[in-house]
Amino acid sequence: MEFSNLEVNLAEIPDFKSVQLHPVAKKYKTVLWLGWLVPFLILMPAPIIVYYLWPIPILYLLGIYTVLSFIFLLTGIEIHKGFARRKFGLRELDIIHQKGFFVFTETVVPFKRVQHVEIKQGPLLRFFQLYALKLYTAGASTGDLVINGIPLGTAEKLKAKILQVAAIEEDLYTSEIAQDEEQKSNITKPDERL
Amino acid sequence: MKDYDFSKAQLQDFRGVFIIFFANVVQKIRRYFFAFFVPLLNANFRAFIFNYFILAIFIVVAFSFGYAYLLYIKFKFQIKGQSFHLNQGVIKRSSIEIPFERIQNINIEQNIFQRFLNVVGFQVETAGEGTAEINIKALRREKAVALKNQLLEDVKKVNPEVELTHTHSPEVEYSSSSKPANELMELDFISLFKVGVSSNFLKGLSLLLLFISTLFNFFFDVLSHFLTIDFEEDFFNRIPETLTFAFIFIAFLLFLGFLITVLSVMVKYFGLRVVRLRNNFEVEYGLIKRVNQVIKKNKTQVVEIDTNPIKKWLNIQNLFVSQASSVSLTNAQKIGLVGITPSQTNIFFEAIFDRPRSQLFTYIRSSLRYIIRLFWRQSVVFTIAFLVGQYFLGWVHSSIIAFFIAFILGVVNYLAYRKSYVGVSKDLIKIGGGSINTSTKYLALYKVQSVFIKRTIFQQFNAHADLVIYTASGREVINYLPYQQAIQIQNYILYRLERSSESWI
Repeated sequence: MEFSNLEVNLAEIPDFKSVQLHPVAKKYKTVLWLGWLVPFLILMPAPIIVYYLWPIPILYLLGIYTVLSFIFLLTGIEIHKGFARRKFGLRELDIIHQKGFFVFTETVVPFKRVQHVEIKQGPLLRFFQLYALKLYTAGASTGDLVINGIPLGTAEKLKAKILQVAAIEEDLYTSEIAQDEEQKSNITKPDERL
Repeated sequence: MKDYDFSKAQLQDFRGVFIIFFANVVQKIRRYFFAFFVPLLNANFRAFIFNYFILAIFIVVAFSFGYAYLLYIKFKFQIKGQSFHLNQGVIKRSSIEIPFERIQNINIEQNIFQRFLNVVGFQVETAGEGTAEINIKALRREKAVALKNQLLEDVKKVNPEVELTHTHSPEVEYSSSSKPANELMELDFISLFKVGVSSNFLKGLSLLLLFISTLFNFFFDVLSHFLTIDFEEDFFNRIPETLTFAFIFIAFLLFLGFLITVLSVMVKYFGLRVVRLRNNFEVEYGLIKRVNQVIKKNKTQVVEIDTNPIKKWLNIQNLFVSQASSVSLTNAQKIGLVGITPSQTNIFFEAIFDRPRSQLFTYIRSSLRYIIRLFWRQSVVFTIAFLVGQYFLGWVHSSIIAFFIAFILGVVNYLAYRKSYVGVSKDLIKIGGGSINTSTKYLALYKVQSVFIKRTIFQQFNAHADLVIYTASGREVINYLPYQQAIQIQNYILYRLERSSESWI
């Protein structure tokens, strides 16, 4: 690939892969395992109970168990192997988040595209005193970024940093508009209605 | 143009009662449509209950009309302070207040009832959740235009950076047919026909199949219940009698699907008219439901140019615009400028992006492995279809058909691979897609919200990645790029984006 016609030297572009990434809190792995265990404890005995109350063919039962154990095995591997990959990192102007074993995603959201930031905590996270940081971008919610399982201090630091940079950008932007406004008001008539 | 004082609470036009009433009746008919068959089916039943049935319908209609009148009386809107107010509801009262700075779009449209009664519908859209949207069902056209102009004026005062349309051009006459000087295109009947003929008629075919299967289900259900005959057995026994029958049947379906597509496209885009107002465009189209939409330069996120071999031969293209929205846009929600000529496309492109369409792009193409993914995805449906076909037609026939379909899939997948790429220039991103058709999407680099690199477990082994680009109108995916190059593109997009001072809206 040639970047020569883009007036940018490839070597000048910072590579997000070179950034030092931080893992999320170790306790969060326990949260994930609990989230796996609860459905496991409910769903695994259920077919057996149904089988004794209601005679269904044994073949169905085997089929159900094959599918169930397959799903639980995969989600288990995802948690076990994928946890080490849950990392986030900051650069000057954007935030990086990566996760996933079977599907590994590396997301980068520039601070200036963050609409607002939310620090969230569900009941399970509350028990482990962990938090989730959610960054809202414009458009559909699928584009939002969530970093799960970080301590409050980290979450607040991240939030402050993101908002600080976003605010500077916003200031630049609004001052540009104010300048535009001035230019416009010089041209157009003063407002008669107000 | 008469002056209207919108600072006082306004009612809709009185004809609004009929609009509400008709809409209500249509909805009821749709919901209880099967009830109309009941008295026709059984003579005894009919004799016993027919009078009551008529009476019930009469009461429901009278009640609906009364309710429509109450809705009309309680529906009041006004411009008060710095916002647009709407009070409505008879049983469940609601009061909506939209501050001017949240108003994103104002539409005037006309459906067939409104056209019949010579009124227009008026809608106010916000960028928010979509729940606060205002829909005034009936206004006289002059009043709607006056309200639109008044609102646009007010919105501009509060929110000057939102470049709204019409503020500078109250002289544009909406009701007159005089041709404004800055019209980009007006689709005549022959071009409209070309658009219909060159459409993808597989969509119409699937619609038809859905319709037929629902109809069959309905009739089998109803009839087999009253006449104790098992239609399904009889019907399915006859199907495989001759292959000729199947072929004629398929040819007939294809033809019907083609016809439905041509007609539905022509009805949807009837009288398409695009007017340029500075850098914004006003689009109007539709035969049964007349839609009036505004394409705003700031709000525009993705411009998609769609063509296929027939369209190329006819020298037309379809252009679809995605604007910022709080939900991912479906294809139907994109604004379509169909049957546009390549030169008109270029005019439109330059107005939206401020730069010519021919630029130096650096491209990355999807790898050949993309074909494997496509086959893998199709294999499930293909296998099931093959097993079902084998059951009805036997091994020989189903194998011949399967071979034929596999060949077509191979060609389509190869084309899909060939046409899949992403390109970046100094300010733009260009994304290629399509198989038999060719789609080319353009978006400004600074309109990107976030960038993902996604790798399945297979891609982690074979060093490939999918690139996912989010804009405020949804996401764009480029499949199976070489991993290192995908990272370079992601770095480049971020670099340009973070050093741009332009806003995404």
